[in-house]
Amino acid sequence: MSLSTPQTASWTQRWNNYWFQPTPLFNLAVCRMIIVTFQVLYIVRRDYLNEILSRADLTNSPYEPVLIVRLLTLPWGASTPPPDLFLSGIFWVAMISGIFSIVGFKTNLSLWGCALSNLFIQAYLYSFGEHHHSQALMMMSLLILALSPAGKMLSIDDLQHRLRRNIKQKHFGIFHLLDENSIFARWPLLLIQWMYAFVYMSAAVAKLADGGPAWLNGYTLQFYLLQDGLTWDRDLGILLAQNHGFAVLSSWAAVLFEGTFFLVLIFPKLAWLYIPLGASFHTGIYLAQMAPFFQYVTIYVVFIPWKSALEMLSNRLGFSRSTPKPEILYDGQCPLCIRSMTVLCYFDWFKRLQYSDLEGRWQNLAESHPHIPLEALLDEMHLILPNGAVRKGFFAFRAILRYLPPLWPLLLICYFPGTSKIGPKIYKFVADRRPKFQRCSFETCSIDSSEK
Amino acid sequence: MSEEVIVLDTNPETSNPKMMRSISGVILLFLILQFGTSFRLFCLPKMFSFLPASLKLACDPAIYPFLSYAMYSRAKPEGSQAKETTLFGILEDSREVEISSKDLDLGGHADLNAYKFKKYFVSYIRENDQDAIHKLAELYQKKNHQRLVGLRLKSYSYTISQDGIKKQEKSVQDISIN
Repeated sequence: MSLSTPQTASWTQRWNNYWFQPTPLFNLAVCRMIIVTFQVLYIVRRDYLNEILSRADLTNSPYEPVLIVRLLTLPWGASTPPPDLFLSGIFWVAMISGIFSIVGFKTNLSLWGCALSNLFIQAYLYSFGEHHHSQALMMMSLLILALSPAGKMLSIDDLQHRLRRNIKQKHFGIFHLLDENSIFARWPLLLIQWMYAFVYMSAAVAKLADGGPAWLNGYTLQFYLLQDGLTWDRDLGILLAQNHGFAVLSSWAAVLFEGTFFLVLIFPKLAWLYIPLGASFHTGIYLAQMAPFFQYVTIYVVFIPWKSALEMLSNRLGFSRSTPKPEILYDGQCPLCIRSMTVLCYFDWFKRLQYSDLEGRWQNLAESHPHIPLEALLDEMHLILPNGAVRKGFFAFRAILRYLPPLWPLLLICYFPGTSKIGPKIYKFVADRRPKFQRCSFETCSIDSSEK
Repeated sequence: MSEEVIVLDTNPETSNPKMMRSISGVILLFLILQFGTSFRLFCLPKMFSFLPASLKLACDPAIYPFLSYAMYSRAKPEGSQAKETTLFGILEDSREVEISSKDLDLGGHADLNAYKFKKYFVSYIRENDQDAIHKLAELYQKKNHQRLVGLRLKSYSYTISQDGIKKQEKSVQDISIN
């Protein structure tokens, strides 16, 4: 026992250190949003509802439900396809839960709904004697995301949690999303990467096992290019099939790419070579053979270190931390202001704003900006720009947006003709009704709505 | 070794070793299932095809989404032939019209692409499957308001060679609608 324990501990530690290293939650959240968005658009564009409903009529093959379909359609038995109403219901669950998963509303529950409904749809379509590979990795990724803390950032859930916490604590504390790590944020991304390695290796081994070295003879690829080119009327496939030398080279390239993709897991920097190669590989296959593996290109996002990429972009764009930052002056005693600061901070990924509570800043401010009365500061939000200019209310909000790239789409609305007149009125309308939101001051009662 | 322990101990989430164990189980399950299906370890080879289906365990796509990826895996020698088949319909006035997936009225149903058209119609028609033939004739008539009295399959073969592709003579198969 005493001999085996250290060894066991060592293996466990190695395992844990591999799968559970602290990793930015931001990376995982971005992957969730991209992967699920792709899937939602995919089922809408492909008109899946009609495809599901027509599958039983269209095919002459017998209905042989796949395991997951058999489990979910027990009441109808294994010999009859489930009724259209059930199939339509599953489709709408996939759609709605997909949208909820993207915005991060009840994220894990939504991700489960999205993963299982999509899995059911695919498995059902494959219960009539034929199956395809393009969606399998997507299904695995959705299942993995459903088990992960993918909704702990960039989600309505997370924003609500932070708002509630700050209001309860009666204090807005600055936070930086990109700096928040979790040991549970690495394994989902890594596991999907492993799935890629197995999938590609399987494809390479199958070619060499089923076809032998003859698979690389060039004629094989010429044949498949031509066959698919004729079936799908792809001129590029037919054209490429005529070049034997190209076919030989491409055969070797395909097997080498698939067979060595696992190296990315050992040497992560190789991703910079393999990911563009893979994207070109799948795009080429689509153009020549109409084999749509866009899911594979999309799910490559798990190889991208999003936090580092954003920081790099931030430096490139000159969002340097050392440059003077615009300063937002807010009333730390006002719940609406705490909420507003929390929301703005949530999107301040590049740390471009400085947040100052009037309580601590007022003495200084009275000296440096004597022309701003305290009443005005308490009335509406003020922003001091790096050049010393001051913006108030709606115009402060509009100026702040320029520093928050994730909120740039709102600039379109804020700079729409006429907004300069309507905007301040809307701002004043909301600000004047602050007491309505506030209900009472921090001193006199709790703000937590659950205590009402 | 001590550094590794520090990494884990400094993170508050390590206070949840139960969760780490559960997730490890999930990771192992995914790895085993995908590894097994990738290399077809769960599916007995064809030599055991005499065994009952229940003993063949998980051949694709039984445990979908875990699949093997034996796509385009058969080798083809020089001289292999690829076929292009075009379906024609014979109208009552003996005119010949080409029929593609776009010429069928599937009602509110899904779009019938070229692959499905070949899979669900052309391949069955080639084998003189009367169900498929009648279904096609019905869907054609629904869209074009013209009755088909016969079908004709024209196939062109292309031979693969080092010098490129050589088109072979076409073959014609007439199919009557009973």
